[in-house]
Amino acid sequence: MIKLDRVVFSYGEKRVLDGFSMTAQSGELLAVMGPSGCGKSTLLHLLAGLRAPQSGTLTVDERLPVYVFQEPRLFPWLTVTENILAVLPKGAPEDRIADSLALVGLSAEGSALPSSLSGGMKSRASLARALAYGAVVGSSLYLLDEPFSALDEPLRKSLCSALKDRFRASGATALLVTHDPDEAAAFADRVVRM
Amino acid sequence: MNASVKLPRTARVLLVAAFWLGVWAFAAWRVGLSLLLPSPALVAKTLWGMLGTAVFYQTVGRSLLNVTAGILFAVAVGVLLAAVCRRVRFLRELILPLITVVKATPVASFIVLALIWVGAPRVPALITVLIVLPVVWTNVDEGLSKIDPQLREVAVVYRMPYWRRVRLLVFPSVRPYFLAACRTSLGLAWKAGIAAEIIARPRMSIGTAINDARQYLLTEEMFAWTFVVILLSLLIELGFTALFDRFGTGKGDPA
Repeated sequence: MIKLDRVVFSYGEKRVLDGFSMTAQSGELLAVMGPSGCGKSTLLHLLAGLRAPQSGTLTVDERLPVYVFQEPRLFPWLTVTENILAVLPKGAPEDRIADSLALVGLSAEGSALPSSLSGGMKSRASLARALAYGAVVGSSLYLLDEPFSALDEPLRKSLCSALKDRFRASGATALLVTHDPDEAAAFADRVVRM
Repeated sequence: MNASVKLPRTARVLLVAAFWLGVWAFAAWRVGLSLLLPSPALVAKTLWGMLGTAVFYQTVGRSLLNVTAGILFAVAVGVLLAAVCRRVRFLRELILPLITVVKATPVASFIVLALIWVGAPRVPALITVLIVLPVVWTNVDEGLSKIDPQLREVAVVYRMPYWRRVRLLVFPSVRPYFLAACRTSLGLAWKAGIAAEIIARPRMSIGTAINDARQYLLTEEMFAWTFVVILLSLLIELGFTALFDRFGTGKGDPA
């Protein structure tokens, strides 16, 4: 479960979250929508523990949330598979890597370096890394910051649906930041407007 | 029709070398006094004679040892100090002026001071340290400051263990800066080390041999030793370039 109660967060003088409150039940799939700069990514940063609220209370039940950043953020000197291995605990089963690569349609790109991938492929590799990590550590919270923005329409739809199925099956909670109302409707049980 | 003839690289290098050797031989012939300018043939003969003695190899070995010891020490301390300074900001502020002063001070001033402080045998190694350490420290410090903050966040979010972060994030990020520092400072260190030997005259070293040759007006021997210094400098550079090609560009490094 996630609970934010009158959370305040500012970058210097600029207040991005001003008494923001929300709750998400376990297993709930949420879409987070709002204009640029309204604090959607900041909200995910707070939930991931990258930043702390300046006031208000924040409760996150999951100790190891999975974060898919807006940018792919792959280690440029590591192959796709190595990028996934880099974040997995030692001795993690390798079939998790193959599973996650297959889910995002990158089974053939495991030995490719990020520099040889297109923007969309990098985003999918980043997603595969997050999914493998989540599966291995058994995380029940996924924070997805516009993970499909670099993908074309058919791929975006199929991936969105595949992720939804996976989260439903595992009972995970997920917050998807998106600007696309159709994507929000297809993925989420509920929309949080900021 | 294209009239130009494209020669193989080796042939061009040999032609250029032959041209300058010719210029040198002509100049030596014009001067006509080997005390002022010995001919290439006389220098080659002197060098050939030196190559047949055990002292030559002991002298070269000792000089290489002096400089190598200095380089290894400077690299180790420079890297360690840069890493500590990243964690302790005050230490960085404390050290920065010292590094700036060391970089700006003429090598000759240091050689004279070192002669007083540590005695002739240790001067070449100390001078090498003073040349290499600031460059390594500055570059590694810069490399550490340029680690991508977005990748740092990835390491935090995915709870990457400390040593894995060092191995997969810090080392690859700093490596180009570190290797650039080595490339810049190694040749410089070798030449400064020899200069230190010439002034400090430690027992059995190339610099001392050059100085001795100067004292006895054995100009051809000075030329022969200088040739050895140049050759070793090239070999060090070639060796390091080979090492750089082997380990320098990590997979996926920007070209």
